[in-house]
Amino acid sequence: MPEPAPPLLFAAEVVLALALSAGAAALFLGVPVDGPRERSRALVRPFLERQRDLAQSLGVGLRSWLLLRALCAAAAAMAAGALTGVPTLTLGAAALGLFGLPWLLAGRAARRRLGMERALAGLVVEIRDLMQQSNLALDRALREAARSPMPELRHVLAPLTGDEPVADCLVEVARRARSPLADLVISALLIARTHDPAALVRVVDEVLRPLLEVTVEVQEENHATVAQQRAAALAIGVIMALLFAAVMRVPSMQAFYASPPGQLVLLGVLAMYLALVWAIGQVARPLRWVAWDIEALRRETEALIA
Amino acid sequence: MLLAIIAAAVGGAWVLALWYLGMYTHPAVLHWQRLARMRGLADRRPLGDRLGDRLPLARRAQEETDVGRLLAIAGRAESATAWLLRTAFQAGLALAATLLLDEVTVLAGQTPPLPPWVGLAAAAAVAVLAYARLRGEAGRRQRTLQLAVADSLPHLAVMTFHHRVPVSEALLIFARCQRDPTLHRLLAGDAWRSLVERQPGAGAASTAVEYERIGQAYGVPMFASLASAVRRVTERGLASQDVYTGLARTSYGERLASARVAAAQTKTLIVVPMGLMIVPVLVLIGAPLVASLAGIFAR
Repeated sequence: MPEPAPPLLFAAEVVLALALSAGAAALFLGVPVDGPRERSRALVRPFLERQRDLAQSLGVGLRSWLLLRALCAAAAAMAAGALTGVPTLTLGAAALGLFGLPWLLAGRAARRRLGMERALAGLVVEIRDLMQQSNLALDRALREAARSPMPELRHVLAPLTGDEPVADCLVEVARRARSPLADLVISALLIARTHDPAALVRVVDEVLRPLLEVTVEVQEENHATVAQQRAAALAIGVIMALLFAAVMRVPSMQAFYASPPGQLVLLGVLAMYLALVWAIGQVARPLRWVAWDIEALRRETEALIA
Repeated sequence: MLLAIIAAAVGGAWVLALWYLGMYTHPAVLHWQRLARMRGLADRRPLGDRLGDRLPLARRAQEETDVGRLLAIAGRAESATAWLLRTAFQAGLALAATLLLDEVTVLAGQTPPLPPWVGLAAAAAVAVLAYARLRGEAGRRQRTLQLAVADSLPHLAVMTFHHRVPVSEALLIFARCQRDPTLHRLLAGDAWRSLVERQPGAGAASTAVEYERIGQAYGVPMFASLASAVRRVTERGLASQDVYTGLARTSYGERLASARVAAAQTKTLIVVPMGLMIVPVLVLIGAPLVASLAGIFAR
């Protein structure tokens, strides 16, 4: 006579059979199953966009920036490994090198974008004045404004100083600016070019100018708060590193941190510090805007008048 | 006793299923119901929606827990039944995994590490997390739609100035030109109709009424504001540029006001992680001391 199955195993088998039948029924009813490729693409895209912003603020390409991060991680890991010989510290230093560098430079990218957006508010007013007071057509006003731009906008507006068609130049300006606020302004300019330039003057007066001014003001306030706290977090990080160096000079403490429990404690401390640094970055959320596909907008607006 | 209860429950379920399938309904009534469905005369909304018309509290509770509505708002193509089955599958896997772990431990001759209720709790947690995730997705999509419509308003003011392009077409063009395709997926085709037609009084209507219904069904107030603006332009004859520019100014004003509040709160909130920075420092210094004290006391 076969031995009866233990009760827990029997219950688990029943639950498993029910769960599998529910899964099969769900698949039959058309539950979408995201492939790993779609999921990873959705995760990687925002990461790459952030890296592009940082790379642009440093004036290097995306590949060079990623290579720089990898080199920084390797250098930090080698330095920590050579100095302490503790594997956890070597890994921790590699993680700090990899993630700490963008964190340190994030303020620079934010400052560059803020400066550009502040200058953009001035540019919008200048274009409006050229159209209303000097009676220039929108295309002409754009070219005039691009001739003597503010330093923050020189690189961004450079395409408008050439001989390319204005619509193509505006698409290139948006690509260089990499800012949703710039996208908003450029999309308004593209629509006004093909539909009603006079309406733009009113939209600039009543919507775009106040919007740009207040947005930049709010973002500056956030940026100042986060920059201050980032500096404080950095100072605490340095204090911790110095403290740890001092602790490691005591033989008994060095023995503790070389042991497995000590390494666990080190991992915990590193995780806590990184989590708190991440939390500081999350407290001040940036204002959200719609990201426009300026090239598509150019095509659509030109198709409407064709 | 238990077997009798199970038998009674199965019998009751069988009777209910037969009633639901119309086995006890007169054939003439069934024919009339079929004809009414074919002619579009029958109220095809679910029971919960019909009950909600009479009890506002029930409607509110039903809206909050209506998986079909949340799935439609989240833009997911699966039906509520499919979602429930998938969640049941995931919860069942969690329960089965816990029970199997216990069983393996018992077979190895040790006491089970987890009591069976932990498996039930894990299954319930999986179900609750799936629901929370769905609600989160729906909320995110609502915010994205709100933003997508609000950011199109200044462009609508420019494009519809001379009435050459209708507002519905202009909004569809702008939806196509946004990098996030959420608004385009909603407006292109009839994807929104499935949820909107569950609302009372659905049928062929003007752009303003359609936007109003989309706003109500999807919980996106900006659609309702746009509907009101469209009505002022088309029915009262106000200048489109005035109306859409004014609406853009108001919506941006609201967004900037909340951004100001958030910026003011940031200064206070950021103190919390900064204060907590002391914890890793204390752990770094204190851990070796605690370990050595523990060693002394252990001896």
